Amino acid sequence: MTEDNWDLLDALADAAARYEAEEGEPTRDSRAAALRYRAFIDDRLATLGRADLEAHAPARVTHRSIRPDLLAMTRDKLVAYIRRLQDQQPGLGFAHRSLVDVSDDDLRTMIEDIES
Amino acid sequence: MTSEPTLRARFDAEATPALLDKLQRVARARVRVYAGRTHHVGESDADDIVMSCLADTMDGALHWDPAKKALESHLLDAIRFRVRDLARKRLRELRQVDARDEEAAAVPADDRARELGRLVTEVVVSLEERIGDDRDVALLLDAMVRHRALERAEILKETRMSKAAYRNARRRLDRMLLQLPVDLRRAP
Repeated sequence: MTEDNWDLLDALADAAARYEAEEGEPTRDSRAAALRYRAFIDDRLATLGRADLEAHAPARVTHRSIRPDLLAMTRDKLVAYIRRLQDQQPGLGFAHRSLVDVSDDDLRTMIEDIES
Repeated sequence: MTSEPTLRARFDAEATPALLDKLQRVARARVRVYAGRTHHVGESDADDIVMSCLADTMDGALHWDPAKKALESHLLDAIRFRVRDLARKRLRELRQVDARDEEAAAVPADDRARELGRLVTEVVVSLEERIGDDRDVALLLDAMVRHRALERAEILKETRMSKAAYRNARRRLDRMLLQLPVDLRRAP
């Protein structure tokens, strides 16, 4: 009997909803509610949009100045420095193994990265 | 959980003022049927349910596939199920007003079934007051309530009405459903 009663109420609710959807007209209440819902949606979408931007933000590049002692070194000394570091840390690997095509400043940065 | 930006863009485009207006009216129409005079559900519940359906769809907690369903259809379905679930939940959670502790406060299943029966009676009496001497609508409601004929074919068989008479009576009954009282009386 309980299920029968729920079925009846559900059927009546479906009929009421169908009639309202097809024949109903906006009211002052419904228009006010629609504005409230829209403000809520705009707020929520803006929050989700900001979260997306933060999640996919470009990598933050920080500029730092090169240590003065490295700036004072010539290319030969820089290469020798890196080779020494490689001897001390055999597991150390570089994308540029020959170091031929690497600029002097990049060599300095590599040293800083190894030692950091 | 969050939904995809493209899905949210579709949501944004389809959530027009006209649709949002309709959602509110349909949710209230549904709530009115379950409300009864003992306030199992009320009009503020209708607003909460619409809001929760909107929020959950935007967040991705309520799955929406735009390729399969328009936003309107998706939200109307979601509202339908949430109003039904809330009405059942409220009845399950009925508490005896004068009970001293939580265990004693739980309403026995038989009493909950009686309460549901009372809700149905309230809805039917309220409709009968509006039907007056409209014989076809009275026949239609009688078929639904006494014979539990809820589908069109069952009602036609039970009432022996013509299809045209049924269609007209159905529209009049459905209109009366929108006039069901809500918030008339507070729960005791």
